[in-house]
Amino acid sequence: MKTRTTLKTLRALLVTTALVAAGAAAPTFAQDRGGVMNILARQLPSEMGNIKTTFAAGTSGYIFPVVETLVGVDPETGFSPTKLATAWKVADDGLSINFTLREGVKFHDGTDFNAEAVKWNIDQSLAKGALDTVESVSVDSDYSVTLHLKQPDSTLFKALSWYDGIMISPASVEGQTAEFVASHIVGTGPFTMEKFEQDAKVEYVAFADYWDEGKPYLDGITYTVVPDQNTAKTAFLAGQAHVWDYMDSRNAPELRDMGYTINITAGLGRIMYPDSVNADSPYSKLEVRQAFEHAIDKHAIVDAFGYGTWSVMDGPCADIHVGCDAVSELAYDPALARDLLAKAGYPNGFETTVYAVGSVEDEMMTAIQAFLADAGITATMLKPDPATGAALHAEGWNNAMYLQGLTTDGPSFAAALSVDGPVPVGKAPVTEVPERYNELLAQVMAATDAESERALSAELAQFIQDEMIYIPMFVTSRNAALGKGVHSDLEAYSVHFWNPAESWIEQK
Amino acid sequence: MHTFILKRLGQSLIVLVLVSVIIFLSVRILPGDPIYLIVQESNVAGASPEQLAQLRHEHGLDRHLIVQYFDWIGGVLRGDLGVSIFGKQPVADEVLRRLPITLELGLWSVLVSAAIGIPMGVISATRRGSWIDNAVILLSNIGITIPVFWFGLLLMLFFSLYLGWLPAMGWTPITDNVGLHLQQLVMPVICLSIFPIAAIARQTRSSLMEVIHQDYVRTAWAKGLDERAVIFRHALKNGLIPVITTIGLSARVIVGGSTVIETVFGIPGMGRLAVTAVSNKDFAVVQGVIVIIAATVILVNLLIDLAYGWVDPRIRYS
Amino acid sequence: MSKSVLTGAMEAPPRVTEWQRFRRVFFGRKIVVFGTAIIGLLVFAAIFAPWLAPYDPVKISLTERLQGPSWAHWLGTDNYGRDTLSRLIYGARTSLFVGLTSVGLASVVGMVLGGMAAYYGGWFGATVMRVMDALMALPVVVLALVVAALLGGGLWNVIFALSVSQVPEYARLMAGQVRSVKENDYITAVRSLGAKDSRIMFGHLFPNSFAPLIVQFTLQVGSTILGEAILSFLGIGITPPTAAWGAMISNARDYLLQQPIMSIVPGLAIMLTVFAFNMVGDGLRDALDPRLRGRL
Repeated sequence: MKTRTTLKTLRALLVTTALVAAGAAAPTFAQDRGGVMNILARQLPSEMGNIKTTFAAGTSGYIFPVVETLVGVDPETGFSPTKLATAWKVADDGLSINFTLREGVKFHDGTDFNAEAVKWNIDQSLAKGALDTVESVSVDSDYSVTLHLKQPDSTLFKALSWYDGIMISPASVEGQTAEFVASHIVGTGPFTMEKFEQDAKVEYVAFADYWDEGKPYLDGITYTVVPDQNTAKTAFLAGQAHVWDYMDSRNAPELRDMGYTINITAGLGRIMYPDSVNADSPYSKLEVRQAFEHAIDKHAIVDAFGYGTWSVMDGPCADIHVGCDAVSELAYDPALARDLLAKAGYPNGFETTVYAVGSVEDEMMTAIQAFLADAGITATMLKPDPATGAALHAEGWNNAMYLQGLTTDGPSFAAALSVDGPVPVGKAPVTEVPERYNELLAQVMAATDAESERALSAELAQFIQDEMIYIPMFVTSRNAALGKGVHSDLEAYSVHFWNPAESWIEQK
Repeated sequence: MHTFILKRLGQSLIVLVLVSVIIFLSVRILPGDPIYLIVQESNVAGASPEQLAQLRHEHGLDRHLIVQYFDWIGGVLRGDLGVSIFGKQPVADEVLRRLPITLELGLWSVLVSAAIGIPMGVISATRRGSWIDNAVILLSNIGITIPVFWFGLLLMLFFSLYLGWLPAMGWTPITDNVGLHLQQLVMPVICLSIFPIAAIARQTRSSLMEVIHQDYVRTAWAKGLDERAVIFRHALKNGLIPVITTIGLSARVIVGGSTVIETVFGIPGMGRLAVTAVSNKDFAVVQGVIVIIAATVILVNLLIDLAYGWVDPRIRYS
Repeated sequence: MSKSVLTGAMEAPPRVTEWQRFRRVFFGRKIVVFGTAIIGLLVFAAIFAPWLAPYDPVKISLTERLQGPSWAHWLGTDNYGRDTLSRLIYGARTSLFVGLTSVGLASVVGMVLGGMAAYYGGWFGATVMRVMDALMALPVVVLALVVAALLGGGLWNVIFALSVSQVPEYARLMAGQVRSVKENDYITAVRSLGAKDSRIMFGHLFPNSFAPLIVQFTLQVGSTILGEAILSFLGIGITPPTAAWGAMISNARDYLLQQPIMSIVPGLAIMLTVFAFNMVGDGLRDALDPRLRGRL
């Protein structure tokens, strides 16, 4: 019975936030029209095509001019019906959700966005094993679909405001050649993809039939790849670009002093998965895993390289995660680290490898390495190429640490773990995961009111720390610098808040 | 002359085939199983051994190496370089888009190096021991020792940031904007030319000095021809032969330098494609790019050799 | 022996010994002396780095980051608070080690391959030389890039990559030398006395081909040090925290505006070192020139 009432509360909450978001006032000043916004990016995805079957990590920032999600997100109020769904209703038992779709929306290829298109997109996600709490999708009418769930799932809205909520044109995939599919991304967004050159640039132009009339303000958006930060800085300062995205944090204070708008948002939490399964790995001993965290002066690293934009994680989670105020980090204590290592049978330390996947700051790696060396742990720091990274993912990493990200784009700790946690199997194949972890995670995901979610999240976080399932480090930042006269909410990471349609450039 | 051309052509072909074999084998034999790249890109989470075998089969990776090689090389001969694992686009398309960019950079660099390097060497050789000779020697020694990427960064800071004269990076097709196209060429071409300028100046100086001491030049002096005529009509014409070789060797250096210079200046050419493909271990692209780079270098060398044989008949018969 | 008898018979002016001539030509040019001194200094710094360097080159001190030159840190500190002077001294060790080892490896392998190819000739010789031609068709940087990236970075992989890309040059040079020496009457004489192939190759051919190779060796050390810098710059070279000049530039470029000394110091060190090796190479070429043999 209790669940029933709490589900109602949840539903009420969602509907209310929806109404608030819908009624929220638009910006009060007049936007100039026209111009192409040039954005410098560190990298582009290798492929700009069907994101339903292939997805390269890090694609997110670059596809949101073209595609939209079913569920919108408002940075203030949470999930909101501002994108392709205009309303939703969770059934009393929490086992189905009905979505009312926006009418009059067209895909860039001229086909209609409707219930069939939504079903097709969700089915694509189901086929590849995502959205595992969804049983099936049914089309009720042209603009109404219902998701039928196996169990109530509080993380579903997050998923539908993210990759699995992206709606692309079924006609751009069905019956097309593999090459076409890999090079065409056809969504409903304010811009269409005009030209993509791998590793060089992507050009978007305004979509004339965009459903939100009067938008976008810009004629186009161009991302140019500049891998070298120094080159990017020089180009930005010389006025060659409007926006410098994914700027190193060291440049933030300097550029702010020069009068540029600097947008800083929390990036990924950095966590390390040990090889705790293999008995010959030092990390199979709890003391060694604890020593690892005690050995690293996280505050010193954050102060030195974060320039005020990084923060130390609260134990296994970031500030933003619900329930994490209940836990705190293992403090820097090299003497204790050495004691723990000695207790575990490694009085003279040991040799190990730390693999870092994705874009990881070199400075952070080198600093971690130096602190480990002080405690007697000789670490080789490696940034594996994609193939090696994939092999590690499949086969595990013997006597090594695997550094990866923990998403911080929402308050739900369970949702973050469902993406970046050690399970499902295969995510961190050599990390020991006690059964209790899965039980606790399932409980948090099923929690329906804020209070129990908070309490259970705190319990889960405490359990992860007690067992040192992974070793938490710090939350890095994602920074962008905006040139003068550039207006954009690009700052809001979590890219689903970045609204290219709203961006504009002052025209003189 | 015909036999000479045919012989050199034959040699070049053999070398090209060997390059293709070497690059094909090293990509396959060196550590790192490409199947995992495919797995990752196909988004098959936690692939089972059966799935791996299936994928291997689909990509033809379970066939004998020799079969795979002939399959690939047969494609290359038809202009099909395979499909990129990452972008899933034909490698040939990518190469066709990028090769002209690097070729243009390279051509400008060769022209600039010859236009600056040869006069430097001539002045230096004819004013032996003067301050200008010493300056040329010093400059050319700096030219062959300077780390070009470092120099590129310094240029960028100076010309783009402090003076604001040149765009810091990027590449605009000449058809879009001629002015911008040329402006964006300046710094990369300077960087790519530094080493060849120095090498050509050194070579010109030393071969000219050797020629100057030869009898026919002395005779020309003795006949009372004026200095400029002697240098241009007699000494330079013969002294240039080794310089042509140096220019040919520079082509190799320029192509090599394009990897790092294209990275520094954000130019989407072959060099940057090579760096990206190699660090991604996208073996389909690596193979294609390396074969094209080798073919380009071999072609340049062939042309140089033919030019050489044409200038100096003795070569043809040796 | 027969030589001295012969010259004596001809009553030529007293001849200088090889060593005297070498010394006079080699040390006759100030710039070569300068180069030799720089290399001497580098070798000294490399050997005695632990005693010369004021600080541990890998020890970070996050409270002392990005300091300018001072009494405590003559060349300032880097973005990790490491002493730049200490890293420069240890960097000499890495650069020299990478330079000498890869050139050494390349020259030995190249000499043996090229020597055998030219000595035996036939299909074996032809195959070896064509493979060398094929490797030569790729720019050194591109070849090293491919090898280093496929193997993954790190000291030994960088050394391997840099040597692979240089083997062909030595093989070619050696093959050319061996061919010219082989036709020499002197070798024909030794062979007619019944010497074995291996004896001829290692006892007579290699020593006689030594002079041009030693010149090439010296010149190549410089360009290999540059090659290491390029690989490190592209992120597939020497792995942190090892002090290496190329890696130092690569690390410092993000601070080019803020802390220019961090980039300038290793950049200059590379230039000076390559310059020194080139000068010594030139000096050796003059001093070992066979056309000048026995003369002054």
